[in-house]
Amino acid sequence: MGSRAGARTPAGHRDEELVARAIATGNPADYDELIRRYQSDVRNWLRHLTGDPSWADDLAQETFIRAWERLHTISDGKKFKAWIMKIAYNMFLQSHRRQGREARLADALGREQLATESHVTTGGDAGVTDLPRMLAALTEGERIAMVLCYAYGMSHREITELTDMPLGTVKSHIRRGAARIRGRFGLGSPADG
Amino acid sequence: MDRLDRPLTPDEEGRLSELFETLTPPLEDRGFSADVLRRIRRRAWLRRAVLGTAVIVGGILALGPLSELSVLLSGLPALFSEGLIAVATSWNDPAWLAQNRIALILAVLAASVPGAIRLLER
Repeated sequence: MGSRAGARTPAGHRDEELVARAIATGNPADYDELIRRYQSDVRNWLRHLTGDPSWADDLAQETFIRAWERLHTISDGKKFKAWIMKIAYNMFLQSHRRQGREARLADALGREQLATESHVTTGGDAGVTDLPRMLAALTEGERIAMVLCYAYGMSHREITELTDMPLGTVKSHIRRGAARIRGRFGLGSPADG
Repeated sequence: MDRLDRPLTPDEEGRLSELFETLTPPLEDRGFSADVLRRIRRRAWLRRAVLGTAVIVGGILALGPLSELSVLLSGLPALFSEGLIAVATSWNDPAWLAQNRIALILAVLAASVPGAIRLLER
């Protein structure tokens, strides 16, 4: 995955360097590496939010286009990943409001990924066998906070900036969500059986 | 403490991360970034085309009024100098003053308005 590849490409460019170069030249070709690096994260995130791979990919394209148009507004020290994930989230909210798909939001995050069909097999743990089912047991806020924290490795502060939820709320969502999952499904290691 | 309220152990944290990481499988690019770049270039081209067209159309539309304005402006200095000459030669002529009283009052008012506004602001 792009983000897990770290902040450097094989050519050794950090995100900040790529952003600075794209701003300086204004050439979309210089933006290409950033798209390649984060397309997977952004598309996965939008697939979780929408539950619809096709809709998610459309939004992901719009996200990268909007990010390109606003690239000069990214503040120093701001991580590109957190910044673009926030744009993606806002794009989703706007699109969701526009299209009036309220009913989809409730179960979107807990829905099985259609495109990747990533069924969770947890190596013999009888408690946790189905991640979508597990996510469905969480509230919307808990799902968003936990997915960003555990799936995308974001800090509590980054989640706060991305979702506009207060820091205390993010922490409590994650704590309660984790407790709920542990209570209902167990979190024993596969070896525990 | 309630068992559910206790913090996660490092093992449980690891297990959660392991589970949630399956939500982010690497997705192949498959032309995604090329599509984005193509759309960015197309939008930039469209923007330039619309801007260029707007400048040309605006220029054509403004050509008529602009020529009229230039004619009007070219006549102003002569008009202004004639007025100044008339004022300079007739300001102490009572008949001329009576004839242009309203115009003079308006001119004095217009000249004093900025000062009055500044005074009020203070």
